[in-house]
Amino acid sequence: MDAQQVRGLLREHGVHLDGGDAETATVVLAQDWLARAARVRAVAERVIPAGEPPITVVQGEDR
Amino acid sequence: MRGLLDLSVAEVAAGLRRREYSVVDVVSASLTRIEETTELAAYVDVYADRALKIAQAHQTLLGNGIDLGPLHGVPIAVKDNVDVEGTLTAAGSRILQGNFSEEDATVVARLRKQGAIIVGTTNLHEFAWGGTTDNPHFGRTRNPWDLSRSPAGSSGGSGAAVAARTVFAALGTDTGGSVRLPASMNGVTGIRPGIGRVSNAGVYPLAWSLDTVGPLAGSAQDCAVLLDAMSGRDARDPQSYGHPTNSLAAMEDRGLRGARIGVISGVSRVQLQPAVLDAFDSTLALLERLGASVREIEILDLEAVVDALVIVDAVEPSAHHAPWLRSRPGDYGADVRANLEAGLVIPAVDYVQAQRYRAHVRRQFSDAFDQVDVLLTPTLPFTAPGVGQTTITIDSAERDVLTSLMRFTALASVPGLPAMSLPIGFDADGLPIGLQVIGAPDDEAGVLRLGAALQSQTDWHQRRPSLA
Repeated sequence: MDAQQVRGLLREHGVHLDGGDAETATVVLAQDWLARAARVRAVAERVIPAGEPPITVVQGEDR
Repeated sequence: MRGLLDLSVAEVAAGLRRREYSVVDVVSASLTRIEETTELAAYVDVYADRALKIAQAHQTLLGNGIDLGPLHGVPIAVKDNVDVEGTLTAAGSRILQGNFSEEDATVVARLRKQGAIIVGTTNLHEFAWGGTTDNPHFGRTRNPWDLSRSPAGSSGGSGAAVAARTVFAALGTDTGGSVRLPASMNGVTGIRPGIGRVSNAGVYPLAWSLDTVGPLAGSAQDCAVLLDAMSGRDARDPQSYGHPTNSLAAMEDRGLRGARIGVISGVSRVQLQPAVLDAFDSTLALLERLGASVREIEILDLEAVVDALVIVDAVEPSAHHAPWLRSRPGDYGADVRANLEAGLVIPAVDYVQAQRYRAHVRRQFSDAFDQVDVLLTPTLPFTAPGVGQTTITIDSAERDVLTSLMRFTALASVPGLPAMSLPIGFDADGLPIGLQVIGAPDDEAGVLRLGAALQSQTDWHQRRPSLA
């Protein structure tokens, strides 16, 4: 996702964009994290059998 | 020469009962040491008057034969995202300045019930969202082994406070590594319990599905005293479950013969600073000499562990902070503001895939624990970086410090397993090196037992920084 697309998403969430260093830091970090999210998605789609649920906050199998 | 504050929790408690010194003596020694080490910026608040009054009351109780428990009269510190009744809990932030705690967090109440005395609250990375404890609102905490180095975070104040022996133990919180990282960089012992083993009630959240509270102390045995007192189901936290841990009892046998130890193939011994690899290998060799079997274990599909941790650790706090990000963005420090804003744009489907991946990784680890009792890695690939350092070079490659910090700690955080860090050596600059011990679900006792066994044969945990 390019920087302009990230800025658009940030605006949708009401983030104040002032064109300064804070905005640049957020956009660069968001691009890095979106790349990480894509890697997780790719691994998850490859290795997890269809239908397997996410981890839950309450981990019932331990009770 | 060993001073009062160099004793273990069990030793200081025994001396109190033998009337070798009073609770007031112990708490006064702690408060004096805090005053002597203010350059560390480890504390955000110190409750000197209140602690001394409670110390006097605890001494009266002891004099009347009333013993509250193994922590009776022991001064401890609490990370500033954990509520202490009648005090302010700002979680290291400007946003929560003036946030008054009406009641103790459950962990604090349970420690007090066993006689612990809270002497102060410790500094942290703002809202626990970072690994340096370079806090724009409460100061930059320093590493007692070298003031130009980072103490790690987010529980950096607790790590520095224990390393400098201002207290016998301190509470930290651990989402992606925030107990284990400062334990490693400050040369102390710290355990993150499995998720839900210790109540989070009264603890300011970072990421709900990852958060834990754990102790940092001078040894695995001292951590066990605190964890046994803190753990178990709490009606105030629906995520909590189970009986209190019984770690101390498990330590009665400190033999290692027959212990099955795993080293994660292709993970535990790669991309490390040479001193870290040397200390890790020396520890493995020692464990084998003591009768443990050490074997390589292959755990599949770990390639996205750090990424998954980052995604969950990004999205959950951003959801929680979104209203303040819109109304008070300037009240956050620059790095935490960027973290929180960036987390807003992660797609929901990717967050759910990260949570599905966590369940998958938990199953992979469960299979591994059919073959071994614990898994070992270094806690960190490197020793403490310089304050403000953002990149680090390992194997000729420059890496980002924040995500490199989590390379090993993510292995326990993502599947929600108990894990401890304990010191296993020092590098050429005199900086501590930590070992991470990861345990099976609900086996905090096994993790602590291995730590205690190792510490009965080594003295790394008894070294002290040469802080004035």
